[in-house]
Amino acid sequence: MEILIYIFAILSVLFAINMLIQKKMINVALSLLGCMVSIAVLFIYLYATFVGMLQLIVYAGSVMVLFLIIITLLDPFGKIKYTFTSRLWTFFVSIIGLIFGLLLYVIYGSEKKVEAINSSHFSIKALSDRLFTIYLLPFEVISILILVGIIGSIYFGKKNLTDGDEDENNA
Amino acid sequence: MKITPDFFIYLSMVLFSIGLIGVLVRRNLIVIFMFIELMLNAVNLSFIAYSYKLGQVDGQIYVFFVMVLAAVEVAVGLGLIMLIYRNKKSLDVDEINIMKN
Amino acid sequence: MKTLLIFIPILPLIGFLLNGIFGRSFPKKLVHRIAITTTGISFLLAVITFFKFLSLDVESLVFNYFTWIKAGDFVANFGFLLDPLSMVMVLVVTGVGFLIHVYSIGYMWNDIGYNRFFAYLNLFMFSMLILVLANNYLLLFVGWEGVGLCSYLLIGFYFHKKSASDAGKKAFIVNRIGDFGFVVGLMLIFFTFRTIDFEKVFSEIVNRGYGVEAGWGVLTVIGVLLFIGATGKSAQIPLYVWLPDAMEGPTPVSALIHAATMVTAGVYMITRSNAIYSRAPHALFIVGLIGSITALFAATIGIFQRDIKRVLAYSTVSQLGYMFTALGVLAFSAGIFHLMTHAFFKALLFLGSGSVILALHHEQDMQNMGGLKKYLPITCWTMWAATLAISGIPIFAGFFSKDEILWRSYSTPVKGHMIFYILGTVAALITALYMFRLMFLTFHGKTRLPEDKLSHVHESPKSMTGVLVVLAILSTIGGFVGMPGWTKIPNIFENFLEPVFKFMPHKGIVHAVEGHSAGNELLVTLVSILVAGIGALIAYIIYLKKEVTPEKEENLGLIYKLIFNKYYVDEIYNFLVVQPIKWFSTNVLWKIVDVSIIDGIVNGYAYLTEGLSVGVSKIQNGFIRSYVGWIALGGIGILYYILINFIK
Repeated sequence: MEILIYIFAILSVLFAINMLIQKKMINVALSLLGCMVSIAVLFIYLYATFVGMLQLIVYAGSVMVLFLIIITLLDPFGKIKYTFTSRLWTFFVSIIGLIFGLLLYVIYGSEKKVEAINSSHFSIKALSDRLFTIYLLPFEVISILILVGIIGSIYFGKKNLTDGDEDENNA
Repeated sequence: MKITPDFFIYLSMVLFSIGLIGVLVRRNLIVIFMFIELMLNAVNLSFIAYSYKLGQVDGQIYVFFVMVLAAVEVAVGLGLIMLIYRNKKSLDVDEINIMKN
Repeated sequence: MKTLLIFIPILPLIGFLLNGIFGRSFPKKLVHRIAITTTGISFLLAVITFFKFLSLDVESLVFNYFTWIKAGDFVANFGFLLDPLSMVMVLVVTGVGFLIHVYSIGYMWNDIGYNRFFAYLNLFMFSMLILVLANNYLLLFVGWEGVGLCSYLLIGFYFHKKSASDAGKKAFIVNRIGDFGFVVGLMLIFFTFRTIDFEKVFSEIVNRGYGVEAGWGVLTVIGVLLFIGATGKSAQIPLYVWLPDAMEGPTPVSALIHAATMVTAGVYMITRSNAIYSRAPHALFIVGLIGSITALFAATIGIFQRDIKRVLAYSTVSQLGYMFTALGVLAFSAGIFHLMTHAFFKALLFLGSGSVILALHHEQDMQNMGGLKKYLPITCWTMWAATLAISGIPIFAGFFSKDEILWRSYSTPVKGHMIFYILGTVAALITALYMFRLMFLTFHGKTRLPEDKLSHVHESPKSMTGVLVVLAILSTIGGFVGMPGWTKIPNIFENFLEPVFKFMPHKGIVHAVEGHSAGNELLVTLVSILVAGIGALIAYIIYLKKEVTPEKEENLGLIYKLIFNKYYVDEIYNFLVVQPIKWFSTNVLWKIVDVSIIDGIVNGYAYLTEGLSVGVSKIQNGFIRSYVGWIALGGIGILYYILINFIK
């Protein structure tokens, strides 16, 4: 069981690295999909069954579908460029070093003791109890955010929404 | 023997760093967007890991919110990418440097 | 009563706001109706308050409306103090103010800026009422500055004339010098007594058992500082120079602000602080000395002035000097009495001169007047009433008040009182001289006006002459409220004001007069009548018998030149004060401090910012990925900061 989880963890990292080196957009997207599915498995292992399912449905399902649609609309097999200059390298290596240092500090500084884990803490009932009581307001606010997002994307999707110059040309 | 939550936190750290590298190195807007999704996923993983470590369900609720946020972001962001592509005929961020000065 | 009282100053403020904001679009009639209604009702309220106050039979009432400033120990309330002193002042201010508002309709009718004029006048009424009603020094100072502002605005009312705007500036700047003293005095009061409320300060003085100070104690210093403020506002030596120039303003303004009310603020303030002054003989001596010297000095300048308003201006300075003389000999109620009668007759003189000036189409030089009695009968006779009053001819108001002052300075055994008396008596002679000269040159003798102009001369409209008549009646009978001691008729005015002086240390000195025989008092009175008579006689001989005109006076040579040029005081001030300051400002402040230090700092900052932004703008290169990198770096920085500081 634990072996499986280690495999999925390694898989997710491999998929992520694959995202970095793939040259075609479609391959990058598929690697991301694999990475997400692996992470969903890890979620489920960590008693986050509901969130893991959501991960599969929302991310691996709809979000990736959206990405794929956009990619097919544009140029699915076109090669994409990298920029690797030495200055950039030093820059992001130092950033990553900083992040690692930070997290190590946090983890070693934090309490080592793990709470007595009871799977009933993480049941969907417990989750929904909290979600619809003390987190009710953020829940409603986030639903409004979705609404705004929908309206916004419809607006952006309108055909005639282009630059001023082209507007004049079209007219 | 359950795997310790620290393992997942290290994992999320690695994924996040890869995502950040991707954002910095890649020049295609859509790909950058994907890496942002990867970073969000990494953060979600750390949320879940801490929720597991502390025995509290709140972390999962945050993940739920982050997912909703990511979905909205993708919807709007891809709409914007379409617009940019339509206007500039390109998705290379180094060519879309209209924010200069 | 509390609400009633607040409306006395609030009404003119409403008038000011209405006329000031919307006045441009109002028809002229509406403008003066607003102004006059508000001040009129305000006067009515003052009268009602007066009778209520009398019926209440209390010494003083304090009304606190709200706390205005509160900082630690320091508390300044917006509150009013109603006692006999402020009651008298409120009645004088609203009454004379109302009359002058009415007069202004006729006088200002053909001027541009009609609404502006009435708005300023109402604002002045508001500030002046705040000044006299305030129950603490700071609120008094608010009114003090408010009237100063209105004075500035109204002197410079004809701002297109350079002399007018210069005069306004001069008044403002000279007053600042005085205000400096006032503010320092105010701070010293707070520093010493930890409060600025009048009644609290005075009872604190009594409670702490301050006696009469032999040397230069804290009360003396406070007294001198406050008096510096008074010399600015009330035009005493050495800060009197602004008042004659203030005659550039419209005549009703000269009457209201620069004769009847504002310039007496200093007298009011010192009377209000009688608890301080009566314990500080050195300060009192300075007040009395400056006052009496000013009385004589300004009177002599008045002799040879040709401009009718300037004569009156110097006369005002001189009469204010009388008031300060009274304060200097602890005759506070006599000072306020003279303030009141002076408000009547000096307002009348100014308004009368305004009537003359209007009739002659803004001619102010007395050389071009004479024999106007025929054409301006009402103006002439009302002005005669005022002239007799100011000269101290019996039964007219000024006689009683001036006589009271002279008698008190003769009899009160304070330091230097005989000097004050002699200076005051000589000044009385000169007062009679220049006032009769003014009347003879203006209304009597042969006219020196060209024929074509003479035909246009006509009496002023009823609204103006009516006011003159009312003031003439007041100038005639106003003195009967303060009968001198030898008549054995009770001095109503002094008895009314008595409660104001309850904080004085030794009532003995104030009533020392009673120790003197009535015969002495009668003698002083006779001397002053005689002196006034001599002055009048000299004027009669010179200006009516010998028909000396202002032009012929120039034959007097050096003395004439000296006096006509006001002893060259302006020139001396210019040389001693203005030029050095100018030199200092140009060569040190401007060329060194301003150009190199201040500009250097400012420009330095500009260069620094420019240099920095050139560096920083390189980061803004338009490449999104570089932005992301910076964001990541910044985020990590913040996280590190949080970790290091909060997670331990």
